Amino acid sequence: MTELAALVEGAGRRGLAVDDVVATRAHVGLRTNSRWFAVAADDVVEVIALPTVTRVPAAPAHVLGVALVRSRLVSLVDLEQLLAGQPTPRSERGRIAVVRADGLELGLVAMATRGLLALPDDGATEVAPAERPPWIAREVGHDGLRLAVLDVAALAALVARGARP
Amino acid sequence: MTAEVAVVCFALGDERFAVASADVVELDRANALAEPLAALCGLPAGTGAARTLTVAAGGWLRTFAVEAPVEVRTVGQAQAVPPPTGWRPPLVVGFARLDERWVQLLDSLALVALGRTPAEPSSPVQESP
Repeated sequence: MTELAALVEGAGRRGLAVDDVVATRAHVGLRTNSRWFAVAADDVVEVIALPTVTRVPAAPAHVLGVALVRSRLVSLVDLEQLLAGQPTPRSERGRIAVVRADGLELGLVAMATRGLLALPDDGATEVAPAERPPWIAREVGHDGLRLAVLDVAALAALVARGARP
Repeated sequence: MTAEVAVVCFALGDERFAVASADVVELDRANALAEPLAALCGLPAGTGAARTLTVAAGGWLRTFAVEAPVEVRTVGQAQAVPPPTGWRPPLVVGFARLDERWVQLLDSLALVALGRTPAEPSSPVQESP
């Protein structure tokens, strides 16, 4: 038996310890500009190509406007604008992740999306630093990316209040 | 329940808007004294011909510069859509689909109060003698 085969056989005999099992939850990854965000898949209604946007009067900078999504109007929110005051660049690969929490629905603008990502569940991850906005629940490393996990309910409540960053 | 409402439609840049015709007291050609509604709303102005729209609501009058095409239409319930749940635009009571375009239905009272504090009202409506 080669050394490598012996190593694998030994690993198989040892089995997987309970401590090695990390609970995960499916998320959808959203890229804005230089940032990646993650939204729990349970909060995502659908991901669609960037639709035609109707600009609305007296909107805060992070609200791009509204768009028709399956016969209902959805407000489109730019997370990059909300966090850094810069718009997310538009591209042909642009997507909208429609999310819902507490009866409020938002479309999150993304340059690209990635999913589904199995991210460690709440307890096993780094809590967001104090300077993070309340709508970012925590940060997670995954596949070389640093993802800010959204608290969709907190984000929806902030946007619904018309609060400016 | 109201089945149909007459509205005055106008443009601001690429977007279309409407206000209840019952609240519109005057439509006119360009007037240098009219306030540019696009700028007040934070929207880019377009290249359409300038028109003025005078709106009366809550006992106050205000004259805005808007853009052509300006036309009177009716909006029925079948064409009307409520605003989104996630963020309710402060000036918009709803949307209507007219000629394959979205028209934003404006709240006349919010319109005459736009950009003003309660202590800074617009012109009071003059009662006819």
